[in-house]
Amino acid sequence: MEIYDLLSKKRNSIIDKCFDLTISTYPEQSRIFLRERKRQFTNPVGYTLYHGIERIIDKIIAQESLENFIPPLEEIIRVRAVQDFIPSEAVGFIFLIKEAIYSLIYKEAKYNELMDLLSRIDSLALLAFDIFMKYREKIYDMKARELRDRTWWILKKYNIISEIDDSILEK
Amino acid sequence: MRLPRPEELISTVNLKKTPPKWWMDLKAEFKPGFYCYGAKGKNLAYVDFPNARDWSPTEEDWKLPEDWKRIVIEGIRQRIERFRTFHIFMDICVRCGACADKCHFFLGTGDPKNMPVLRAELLRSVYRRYFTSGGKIFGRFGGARDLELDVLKELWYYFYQCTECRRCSLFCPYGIDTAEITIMGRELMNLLGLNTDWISGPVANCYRTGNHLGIEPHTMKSTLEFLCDDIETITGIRIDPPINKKGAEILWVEPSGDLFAVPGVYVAMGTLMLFHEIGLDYTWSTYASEGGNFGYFTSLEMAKRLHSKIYEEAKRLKVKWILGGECGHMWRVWHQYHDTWFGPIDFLEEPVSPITGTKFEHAKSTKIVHISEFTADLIRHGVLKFDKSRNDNFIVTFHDSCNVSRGMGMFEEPRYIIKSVCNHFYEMPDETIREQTFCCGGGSGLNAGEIMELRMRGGFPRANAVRYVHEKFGVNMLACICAIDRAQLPPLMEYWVPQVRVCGVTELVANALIMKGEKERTMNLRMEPLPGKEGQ
Repeated sequence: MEIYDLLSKKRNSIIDKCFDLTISTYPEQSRIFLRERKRQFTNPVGYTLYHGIERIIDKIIAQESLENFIPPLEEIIRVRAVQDFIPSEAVGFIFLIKEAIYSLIYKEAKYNELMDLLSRIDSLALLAFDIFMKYREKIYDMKARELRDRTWWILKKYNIISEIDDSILEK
Repeated sequence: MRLPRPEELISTVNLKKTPPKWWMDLKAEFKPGFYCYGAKGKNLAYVDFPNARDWSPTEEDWKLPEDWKRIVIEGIRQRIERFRTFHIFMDICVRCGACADKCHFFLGTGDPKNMPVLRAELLRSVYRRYFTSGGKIFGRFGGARDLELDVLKELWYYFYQCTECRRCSLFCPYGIDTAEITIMGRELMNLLGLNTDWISGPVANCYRTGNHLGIEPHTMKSTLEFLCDDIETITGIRIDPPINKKGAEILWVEPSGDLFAVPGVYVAMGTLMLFHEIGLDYTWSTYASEGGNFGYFTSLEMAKRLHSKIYEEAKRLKVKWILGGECGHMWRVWHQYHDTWFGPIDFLEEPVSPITGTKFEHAKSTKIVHISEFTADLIRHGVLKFDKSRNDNFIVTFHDSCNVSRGMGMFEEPRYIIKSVCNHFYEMPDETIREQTFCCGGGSGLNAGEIMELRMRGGFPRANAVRYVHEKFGVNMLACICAIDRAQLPPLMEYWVPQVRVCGVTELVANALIMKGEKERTMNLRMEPLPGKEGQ
């Protein structure tokens, strides 16, 4: 059987295992709550993680291009970028996806195909790093902007600073 | 040694083993982005707070008084004697966990110590050790622990990761108000001078100049004039705002954030326009220039001191009653604490709308009416004329601010107003609005820039619900009636749902309001073109 058919056959168990492994990166006492994945509004973290992972696995099975992985990865990493994780932990769940896939199909998969697939999943880790940095930079940008927005308006109103006025350009 | 495998490197992954340590043995780790900066000594000294000195949470030495342990234990004793609720809340929790997954900080972090039950247990364990026989005899086995320095640091860390929103208390079968436990916890911290900069600065400012930002009278006057300049540009109408006008009928109290930051300034502009249009006899005050009360986040005594300035000013200006702005905890203080502190106010009149004649009976004791109540009443009586289409670029949803919804019980008025002035309004899912509303993540003095990460994860459940209505109905405007919301929600939206902006309800009112003598309006209060008026 081709490896992607094998993945397709084991889709549900792969998703569940990936989700379980990712949830296990959270403190023990919290996992039981986070594992509840259907409560979109009252357990947003669990819901987001589950549906993000589900989409990632489906895209792996469908052999979609790298850009298509950005939205589901963003969903997950945007959450983990503001949680109690060091950067490697925040993006490291990609390796848990790898681990889950490997453990569920290695007995039946052809060696070459398996190596090829796992190596492709590695590129998701690089992508995850880019996304993580994007959101961390956004946090710092927001910190700076918040300070600027609270003062800029006053500086302008009191004529301490001035900008080029649109009406000058119109003349 | 071999390199570890990636999954081994993420060391917290451990599917089978229980955590290596009991929760009591896990020390709080102070990570940047999750704790507020320590207070400045001068701000503590100005309001006579204890142990005034500069301090930082990350330094080993918190510069505590030598007998700090005695002070805290004595502080707990005084509070359990003084507040029966606190005493009961310390005793009756059965740890059923109904509150556990109701806290936005827990939902956003997954940190068990952010479960309201465990956050309270941090203090309860100390209470047991010194005030219950079981705790004294059985110690750790009775769920009790000694008050050590690490325990104190942990209490501080987690009591400043609670926004006192009270969502958890809604689900407690015993009615335990975990926010009140946080309030007591912060009072205990206050006894040692363990305040945060973002709270103690506004407290000191409020005590001196009357508002959090330290806006002095002349600055407030010129700011209002600037706002009136913009109103003139937009409507062609010149407004002369009454300031410190003795003998005015109504004293108007706005949160000071609305005078200095976007999008709050649009709310202040909207208020100026509304009052001008109905010809209200009112006045701004340069001393009662703040609705919010950050004293409430330090000690009840300090809250009371700051609260009294509004009535002193009402007395000085000889007004009949008070109208309050779109603020959050201002209303919680008023509705839950005012009568205990001062009892019914005896020198003002029971509020009656001079325009509609409506008697605001619910305000018989406090003599203060909320702007949304006042506006909803005006609309109900058909006093105001609107062109709703001016808000057609906005597809609006409404965020119930915790203090106004859960703290005061106001749900319908703002919705009624929004529906009267906007054509497009959609509710967020039921479990995230009204009494079950999710906190913005920045309340109770946790809106500091240095804890942006904490604010983003705390606000995630709220943002998640906003995103749902954005995706389903195309919502692009999040309306609210709280100044802290207007400061916290814009970055929250930028992070989670960048397509959605934030506004106050009165801004929407003023956009749609047809004013007598106005020129043809081509732009909204943000000076953006009105629908169909692009390019004019």
